Amino acid sequence: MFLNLLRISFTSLRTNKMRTFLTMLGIIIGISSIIAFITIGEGVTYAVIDQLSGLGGNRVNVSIQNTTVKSGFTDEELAMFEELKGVKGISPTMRENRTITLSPQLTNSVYHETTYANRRVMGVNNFYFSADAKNSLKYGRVITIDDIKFSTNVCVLGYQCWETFYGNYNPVGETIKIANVDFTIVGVMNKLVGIDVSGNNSILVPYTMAVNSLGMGHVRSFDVVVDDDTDMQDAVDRIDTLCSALMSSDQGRAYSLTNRQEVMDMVVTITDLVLGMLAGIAAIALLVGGIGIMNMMLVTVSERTAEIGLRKALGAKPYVILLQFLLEAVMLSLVGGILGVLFGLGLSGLASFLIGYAFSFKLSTILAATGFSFFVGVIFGILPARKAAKMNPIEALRSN
Amino acid sequence: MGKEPLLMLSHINKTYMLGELPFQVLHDVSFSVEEGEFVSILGPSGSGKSTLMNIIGCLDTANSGVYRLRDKEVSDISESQLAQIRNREIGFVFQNFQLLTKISAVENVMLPLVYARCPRKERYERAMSMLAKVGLENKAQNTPLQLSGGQMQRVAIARALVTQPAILLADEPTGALDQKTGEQIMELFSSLHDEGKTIVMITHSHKISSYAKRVVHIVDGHLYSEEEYKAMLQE
Repeated sequence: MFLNLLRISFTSLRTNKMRTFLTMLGIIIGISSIIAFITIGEGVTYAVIDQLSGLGGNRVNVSIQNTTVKSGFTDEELAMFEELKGVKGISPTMRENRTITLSPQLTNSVYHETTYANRRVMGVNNFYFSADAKNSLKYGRVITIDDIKFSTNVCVLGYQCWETFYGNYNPVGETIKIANVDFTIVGVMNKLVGIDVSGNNSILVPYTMAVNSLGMGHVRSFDVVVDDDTDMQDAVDRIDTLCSALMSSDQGRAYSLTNRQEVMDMVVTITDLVLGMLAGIAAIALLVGGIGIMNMMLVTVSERTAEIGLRKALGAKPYVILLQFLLEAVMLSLVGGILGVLFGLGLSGLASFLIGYAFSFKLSTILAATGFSFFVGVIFGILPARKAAKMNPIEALRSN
Repeated sequence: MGKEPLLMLSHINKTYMLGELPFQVLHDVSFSVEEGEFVSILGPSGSGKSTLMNIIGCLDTANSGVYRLRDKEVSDISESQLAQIRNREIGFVFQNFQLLTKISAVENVMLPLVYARCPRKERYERAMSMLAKVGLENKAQNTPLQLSGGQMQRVAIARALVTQPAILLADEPTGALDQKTGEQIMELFSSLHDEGKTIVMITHSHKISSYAKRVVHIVDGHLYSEEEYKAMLQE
């Protein structure tokens, strides 16, 4: 019986191809925009989170806010942070622009300029290379703990700086001047990808050099990276305790702590909110599509009054008539939903290709969307189907 | 106790509301049909014959009175049960054929068997044998629009017979046909009667009703036998 009803509904939908397609279009648009918004949103969120956590979601930035209370951290103080329980390491972040002069014997270079004004110089420690710029060495070596300890005149070039200065030539061993101080290039980094790619366009020097020889003042801000198996809040509490011990002040709190996990949570919250709004708009489109189905089914039912009367006269029970028209509405909406899912996935695939993040989707999203379109069919199909089922066979037969 | 008639209406009354006013269409109608009879109900339009047909065909129920069909009380039952009785016991033949135009002749004939939950293969075989009976087995795959009026009515008759119903209920079966085709259809009814089928036919035409073996008259909602009707006319 059910198979027969399916066949009847299918035949009826096929007879009015154009009308069927146009009615379906509402559902296709609704479902495909929901799918596209959700998968694009999820993809972008994942990409952002991935990059944030690639840098270490488990890090806390410590910054001095009130320099009259404390002008900077000493090496000993930084070491105290490093030794806190659950801390993997710290990474000072000092950034200032300096003039760079390439050594004059550079004749093989395709570039002829030898002086670059206002290049970013970053004072970093050895930890930077194991946490922030992991596996990113193209040539030579990184800055080591000894370089920090002894304030050696060495530097590592960020990818873009290297490209600009030397094309594709290995400059390890060359000497450059940073603000008239000689530095030996010991390494070149690969291109960094992610959120914090400031290293690409910088010359990296031991932060102790930045403090002692380049006049960058004191370390006022650094990241504390917390062990993966340490509770973030516990670590933040310990960092906070140490900070207040180092910066006791009667002018209120002189420093700020920024938990990157919080930033990530905020990103997720915001994207969820935006996605929710977009999905809401798409749901309205779906609602309109559902009304389109109801409209078409009402037209169908009144067009086929005589058929309904005949079927009833031949012995179709009311529920069978109800099922026949409900199936037609559900088929319309479900097929529209499936087409919408495919189209939506196509759209989000295209978006991932254009924006440049990994395309992925959740099976649950697709199942939910398909299920949703099924229910749209049921909800908007029930009224016309009931109308058909309740029809008086005598009057229905007479309509022919 | 003797054998009960196949179909028995006793003291049937039917009233419609015309706006605010009640209008009694059938007055105390009693009527029975024995198995194998060919009865014609003859009456002009507005006489209540369609209402009577609807009640006999279980498309409608009476306000009062009793209707028994094949030993079963069918007054005052649910719509679903009525549908089941229509499916099993009544074979309708309508004036305007009432075929679905988008499906083939054989699928039209199979239709009542769908609602009887008959398996597809059996449906097809039974429908084909009924089409053969009305001489249309070679038109089985044609849609109704590819058939003549007479052929369409034959398909409709095949459809009415396919469930082997208690009665064949025909409502002006020749009303939409030319005279010659109409006669051919009536001959088909006669031969079905000869095979033992019970036929109840509603018509306004004396000529068509003459094919039946018994004629009852309906005038203004009252039913008269042939003798009563003649006596009334003489008065």
